[in-house]
Amino acid sequence: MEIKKIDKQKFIIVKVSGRLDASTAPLYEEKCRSFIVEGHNKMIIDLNDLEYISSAGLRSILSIGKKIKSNNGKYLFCNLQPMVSDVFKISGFNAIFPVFNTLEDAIEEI
Amino acid sequence: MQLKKSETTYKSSYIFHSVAIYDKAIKITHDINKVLEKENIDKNYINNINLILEEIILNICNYAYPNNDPGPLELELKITKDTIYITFRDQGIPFNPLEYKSKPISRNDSIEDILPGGLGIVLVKQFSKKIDYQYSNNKNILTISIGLDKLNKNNSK
Repeated sequence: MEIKKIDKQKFIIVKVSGRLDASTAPLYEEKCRSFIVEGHNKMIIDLNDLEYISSAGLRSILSIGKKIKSNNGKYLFCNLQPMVSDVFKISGFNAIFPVFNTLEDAIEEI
Repeated sequence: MQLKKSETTYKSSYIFHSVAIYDKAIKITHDINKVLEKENIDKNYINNINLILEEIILNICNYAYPNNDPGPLELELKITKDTIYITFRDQGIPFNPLEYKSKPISRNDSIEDILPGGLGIVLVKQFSKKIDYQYSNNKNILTISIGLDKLNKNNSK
């Protein structure tokens, strides 16, 4: 898994690629926590290049979501690929986190 | 880990052995993926199968053998024309995932109150056609069937 941060003026875009599983979930959590520590409380998670996610990946996403919520920030998702989209729907994550079809749609909302 | 192929009523049948330590056991996934590719299973099924493998292996490694004393974990993979069967066998404490009360998160749940446990079982149930569990001869035997005819049945995109 790779994580790339793109700084915008009022928010950041976090591009996650590869696989978010039990082996890589701690890295997602660590990176996103470091972005929060840097003062970023508004982030768009771009999952265009994420091909696989498991419940361990969901747990790391949830953990960051709780932190951002407690800071009154924003945490949006976009570009979910079919398997990731299925996992979001089945788990109910698309009911608690805003999910957009495109990055442009997410930027408009943030 | 040991790989064995035998011809039965199934198109193919394979057995994999490991110990219930996650970092070791999850390597079976690589071997199974090689088999699935060799058997020309559509790549789109492989992610779904990987998810089932990860969730069940993680569960067995975390809970089957308490007191930090991991025991054996055996996986059997059987392939027919329209179904893949994966059987997990361990000698740990009895656990029937079908009886585990798990539910997806709903819109009414407050994000602060959501407990992260149980999501894996919710996903496995949705990605499988059928799940059978039995406890026999001091073994948990869990067989998960994956239909090859309903690709991405939950993807209404």
